[in-house]
Amino acid sequence: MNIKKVLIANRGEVAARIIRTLKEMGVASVAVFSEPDRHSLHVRMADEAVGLEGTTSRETYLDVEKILAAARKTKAQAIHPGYGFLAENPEFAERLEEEGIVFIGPKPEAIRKMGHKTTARQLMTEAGVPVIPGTLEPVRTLEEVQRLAEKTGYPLLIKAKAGGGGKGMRIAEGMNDLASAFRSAASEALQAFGDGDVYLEKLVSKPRHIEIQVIADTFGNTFHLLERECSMQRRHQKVIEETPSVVLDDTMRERMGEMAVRAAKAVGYEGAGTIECLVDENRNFYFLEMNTRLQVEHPITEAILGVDLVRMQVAIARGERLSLDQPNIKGKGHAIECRIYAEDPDNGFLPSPGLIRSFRVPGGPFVRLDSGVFEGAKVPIYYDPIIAKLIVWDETRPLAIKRMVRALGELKIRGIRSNVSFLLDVIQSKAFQTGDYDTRFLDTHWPELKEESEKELPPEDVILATAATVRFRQEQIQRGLGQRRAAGAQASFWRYTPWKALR
Amino acid sequence: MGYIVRLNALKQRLEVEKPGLGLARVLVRFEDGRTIELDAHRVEPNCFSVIVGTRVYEFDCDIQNGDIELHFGNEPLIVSVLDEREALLQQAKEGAAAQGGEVTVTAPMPGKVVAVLVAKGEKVEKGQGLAVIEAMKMENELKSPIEGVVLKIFAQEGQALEGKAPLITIGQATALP
Repeated sequence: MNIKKVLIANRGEVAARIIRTLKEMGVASVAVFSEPDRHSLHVRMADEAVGLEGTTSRETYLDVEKILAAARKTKAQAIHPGYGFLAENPEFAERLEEEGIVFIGPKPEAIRKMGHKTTARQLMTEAGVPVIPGTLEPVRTLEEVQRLAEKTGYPLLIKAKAGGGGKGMRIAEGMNDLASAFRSAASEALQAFGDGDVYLEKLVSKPRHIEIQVIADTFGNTFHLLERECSMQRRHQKVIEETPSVVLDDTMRERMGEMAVRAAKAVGYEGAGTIECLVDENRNFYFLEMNTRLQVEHPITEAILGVDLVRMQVAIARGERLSLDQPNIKGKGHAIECRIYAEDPDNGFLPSPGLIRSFRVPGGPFVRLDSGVFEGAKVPIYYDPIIAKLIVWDETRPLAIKRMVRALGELKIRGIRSNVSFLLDVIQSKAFQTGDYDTRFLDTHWPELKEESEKELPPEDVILATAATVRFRQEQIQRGLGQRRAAGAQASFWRYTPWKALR
Repeated sequence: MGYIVRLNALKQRLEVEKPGLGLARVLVRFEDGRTIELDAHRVEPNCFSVIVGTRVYEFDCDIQNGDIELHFGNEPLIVSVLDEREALLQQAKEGAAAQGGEVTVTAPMPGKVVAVLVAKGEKVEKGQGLAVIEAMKMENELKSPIEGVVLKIFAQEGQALEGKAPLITIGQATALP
């Protein structure tokens, strides 16, 4: 099908990123927007835009019927869901099929199978894809736990079936603390979720999160596009991603890639997707889950391969054949991505919505900023705090790190707080420089990292003198304005400075 | 002009003079008589480019409640700059607040009140949760900065908040009617 118009059921940086590719392909773009998002970048960039009545995600970007109505109204032939919101909702993909609108993504069945933890685990095991040893069947008696623990091996995790947020989860280091870990996990699960069922999973030591990008056309041609290292996380939220991973050699990369292709084929996958894995300290890897959509960190793959994943997605949706040759898919150089969040690292990472008063974008060779904001944009309180992604490429990892430090230094976001200073601390840490980090690194080491970080500041004299000068200048201007105002002039020069608060 | 300038524990009285070297040049004299000369240009609405000698610095400035917040690179530096009259007023105010022992907890960001955890007249410990507010999919508990009694509750559950909106005042029991 020749897709000429695509509706983007998303907002923010990812919507803007998709629109850019559509423009290059000569495909018209339709934005949808909630009431607070009328001024957003994706609306300004799109060819057409349809307002969704309401404010919250649920009322707008998650409302299937409103989005369908927008697609019908604009006669969009396809919908790109971006990531988040409806991207992994099989019912949404099904509704589009019924309506004769192309969903730029896999078939609903593939989303459903991969979205269901037990089913996915079963299917992966059948396909010969390694999963974390353990059981997904609930275990109810201590005898059963003891018997299964022998098979799984220690240390192991006892997890609530209905769990989440670390509740109803206990680590058993060995046989001796198995009974107490089982009892407290089960009782906590019962308390928190009204369901005391628990299951066992082997505890992966020093886990690294490494994922494989896969891409498949509608003819069953399935390829992998190498890995992304995403172990630098804060509370399970990825912070910095890079590719290649320092722990993979070519043999392991090939093994993981083959595994990822098998996993995708097992569900008849079409389009771009990501197989997320845990890799332990002995470099054993286990399937964690599949993200059946475009990933936030996809630009680092684009950087080392010189491809446009969104363009590939649209081509696949049009029914085009992928003409790739797996042995020739080789990455060049090193790419790093930093996620820029509107949050305050000096204040417990509290979200920091509000008006972006000043926004300076870094430049220079091989620096890419995928942003959803601009100077004068308002970051609303209702949605995810990600506002931009900074991606750099260079020939080697050490050079790419230096380039990222330089680019982060150039990026200026004022009016709201951002995590840029935090990213600078992390990327300059010894752990990141050496590549020796796992998914728990930031949660355990961030406080000391913050202590250690040395900031080069101007001499105190210069800071004090500048502050006094700013005030002095301000008063001079106000005095001048006062005189001019007396003469009937407009007083709009220094708009942002509420000096009145002082008096 | 004389200013009392404070950066963390550092407090200095500074004199800003225009030595007549051009519009953007100022001479700043410190308490001990040292002076430095600044070539300070406002290059963007809230951004100053400063040259001291030949060294170039760039500061962004936010002005919040009378404090000047300079950003150097990505480091926020909170500097309070008061003229002499304001410095005296502030001293008097701080003294009064210390006597009354009253603190009003405000919203650290715009958001929505999810829950108010205390009632008027209730005794609270330092660090006790007072209210939960939600912004950007995250819930945050606001804690009492002092031990005392809940004097006033401004926040209502479900209410939308501006940043810095007053939520709850904690003070001493004697202040209750």
